[in-house]
Amino acid sequence: MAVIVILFFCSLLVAGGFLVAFIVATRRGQYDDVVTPPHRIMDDE
Amino acid sequence: MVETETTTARCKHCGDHIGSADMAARIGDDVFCCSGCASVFEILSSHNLCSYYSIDASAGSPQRNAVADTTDYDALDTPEILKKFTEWKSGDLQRISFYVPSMHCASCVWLLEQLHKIDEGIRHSDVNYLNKTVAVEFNSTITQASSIARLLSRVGYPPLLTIEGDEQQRLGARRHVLRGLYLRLGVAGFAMANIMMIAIAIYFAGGIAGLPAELQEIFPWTAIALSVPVFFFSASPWLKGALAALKQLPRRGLQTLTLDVPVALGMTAIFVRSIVEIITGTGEGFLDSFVGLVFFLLVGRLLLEKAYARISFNRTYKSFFPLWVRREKRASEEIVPLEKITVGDILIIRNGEVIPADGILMGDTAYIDYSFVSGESRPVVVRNSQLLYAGGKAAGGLIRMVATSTVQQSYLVKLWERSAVRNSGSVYETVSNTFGRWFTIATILIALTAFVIWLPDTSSAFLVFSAVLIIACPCALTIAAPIALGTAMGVLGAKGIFLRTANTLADLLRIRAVAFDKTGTLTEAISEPDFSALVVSDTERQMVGCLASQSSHPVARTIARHCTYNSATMHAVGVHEVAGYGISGTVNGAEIRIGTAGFVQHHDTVAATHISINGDYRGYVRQTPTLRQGIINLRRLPNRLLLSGDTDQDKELFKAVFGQQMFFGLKPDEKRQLITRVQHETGRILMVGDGLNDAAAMAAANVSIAVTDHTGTLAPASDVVMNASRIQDIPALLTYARQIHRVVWATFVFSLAYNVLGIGLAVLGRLTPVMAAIMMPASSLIVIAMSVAGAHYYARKHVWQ
Repeated sequence: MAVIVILFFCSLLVAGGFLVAFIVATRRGQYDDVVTPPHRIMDDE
Repeated sequence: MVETETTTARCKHCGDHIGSADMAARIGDDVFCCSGCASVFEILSSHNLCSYYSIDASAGSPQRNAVADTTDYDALDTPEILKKFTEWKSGDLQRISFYVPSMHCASCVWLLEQLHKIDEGIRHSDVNYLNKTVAVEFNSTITQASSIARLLSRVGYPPLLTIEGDEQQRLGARRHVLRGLYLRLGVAGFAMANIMMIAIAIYFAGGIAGLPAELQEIFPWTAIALSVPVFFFSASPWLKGALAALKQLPRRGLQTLTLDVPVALGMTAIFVRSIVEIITGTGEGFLDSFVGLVFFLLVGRLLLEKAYARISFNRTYKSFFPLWVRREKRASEEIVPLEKITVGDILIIRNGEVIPADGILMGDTAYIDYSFVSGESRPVVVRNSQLLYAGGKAAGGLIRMVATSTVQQSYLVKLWERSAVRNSGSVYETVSNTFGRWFTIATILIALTAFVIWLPDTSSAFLVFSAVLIIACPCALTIAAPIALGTAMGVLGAKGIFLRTANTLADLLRIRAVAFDKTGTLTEAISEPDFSALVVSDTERQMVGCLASQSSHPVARTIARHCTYNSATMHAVGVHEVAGYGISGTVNGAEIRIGTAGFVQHHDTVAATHISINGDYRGYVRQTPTLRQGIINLRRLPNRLLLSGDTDQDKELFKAVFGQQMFFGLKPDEKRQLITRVQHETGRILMVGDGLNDAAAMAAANVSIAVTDHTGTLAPASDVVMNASRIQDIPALLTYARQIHRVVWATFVFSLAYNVLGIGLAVLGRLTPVMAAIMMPASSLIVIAMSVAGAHYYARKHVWQ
């Protein structure tokens, strides 16, 4: 039964990793402007 | 004389149709509607930036009506002024940002990020499309802020260097609001998903006792660990709001009880209770419901923020006032920020600049254009040592004045603030504030009473107490009304109708009469000139065009567009323009006067632009108005009135819509009096005008709509700014306001029914806190869905099919 406990914490760890990635991205301003990049993608260069 | 195919030609820059007569410029195979468009094209083509035209077909804005840019960009190089625009500075490198309101498509973004190809001092520029700002990083040894601003203006994107422009480019603060919200939402979402996983395991095991022994310990404690950050971080906006309200309670009484209080109380009750249950081992807690609740409340708040971010309605006096002014100090001029003006300063206002503070004129006569403040479009003559009011525009020369007030105390700012007061406090706000306050008090009282009644049975009493607090959800008031109104504002914005505040929708209810201005509102602001009453030869016609092209007056510009001349062989000398009257000058030896009847010394009553050559009267040019499309639609409105300052020469055009309710030759103040009279006799009145000339009448009406050709126009006293092509939608707008009102009331009623039922069941002990916590976010979602769907449904199905 210990396996399920390890798996449980592993899944928490993985999800926690994504949460940390999300927090870092937000703090660096990734979500500050979600409107301009779709326009910018029209550029050829 | 001109090939027929050019009559259907389109301007290469702005894409507008051009008739042969007004084709102003031609470069190679490309034709342009005006020299403004042509010069933008020249700059772009000489720097290989013509892909601008292929990204978005409607990229260029017409430059025809753009008044010659008189902004004093040199002031930008004054360190004190530049500081306002600077993001950072290190050595020679500097990053400044400007608010550019004319940005509107992918091409705009592309071009504004290619600025380094035009000015080599620019290292890099980037655009924030939502905020309409462009940030430019440049080397200050190669280029200056003033030349960057001038470059933006030359390619058709003049930066707005007014107080509003300054505030807009500082909007960065708002980004951080959203950042905080995203972080709170991320944490709550993470906790919710994982606690749900635990809850599902417990559910399938048939309760916590069905789980293996080691998981019985681990699961509840993990859930606590996950929910603690949700309580202290994600839920903090409500907890802080409630704490602040409770702190104010002893001093300001029950009115401080905001809607945050029951929400925070409910959250705390369910959170603390769950923790106590888990620690004492008396139950499983309802942490899954708790995090779900916080998560959905945050989603609601985010949707709201997004809806508000799309709505920009900041046309106050702030978008009109400059950021700086020239002050005379010991016989020399200095540039100072506006807020540094003190009483007694000597200010220098150049032609076309706005007077920022009340003052007294020094020196001789000056012409002041007060159209913004009083609605009077003709310049006013002010003599030495007479009063000048802030908001006036210097017309026809430099003015020196002594300031007698600061900017904040000036007449215009006070006028604006007074009209802002009128706009606050709508039906919805009053209802939701009063209802919300009593709701909070009632909920707490009911919860306490129920607790006391159930008291012999302590555990049941606690359950009932938490259930009542949790199920009581004032969500229709906290979320639904703003979301319905916000969605409606978004829907209207997409249609070219911009509301000042969401409450304007409530003001549009029960309108009994609608008054319209004529010129610029029902007719196009720029109409086609009629040359049939003018007797001139071809050469003379060109000479008239040559002189007219020297003026920036709209009528003169229209004449110049229709009388093209060869600038190589024809020159105007001795040009003298008297603002509000006309222009005179000598072209190829002939003295030409263009202007009012008095100006050309002719007695004629026709309201038109008269022309004389060498003192010989040659007739007039009249502009026949072009009706805007769909005016006939306005017949659906109640009690239509036409208020016009012009003569009644176009009476027949409007008879179908207005019948006998037409009033001509009204002065701005007479318009205002008429509005007040109708208000007393008929009831609430809506005034539709062009924003500049009808300020007084619009301020007197209950609601006002400003109609404009390009949304950059200022509308001082108006509640709604509407794209001119949308004027036929005014009846639809009124219908829509009524339907949104119905949607809001429906959500109120739903929420009330839900609360009566829910609290009833909770008091009777028929509702466990788990059920309550599921029902509460569910009811919030239903209410949100009702309001969003309602706002879109009515817009699509019933109003704009």
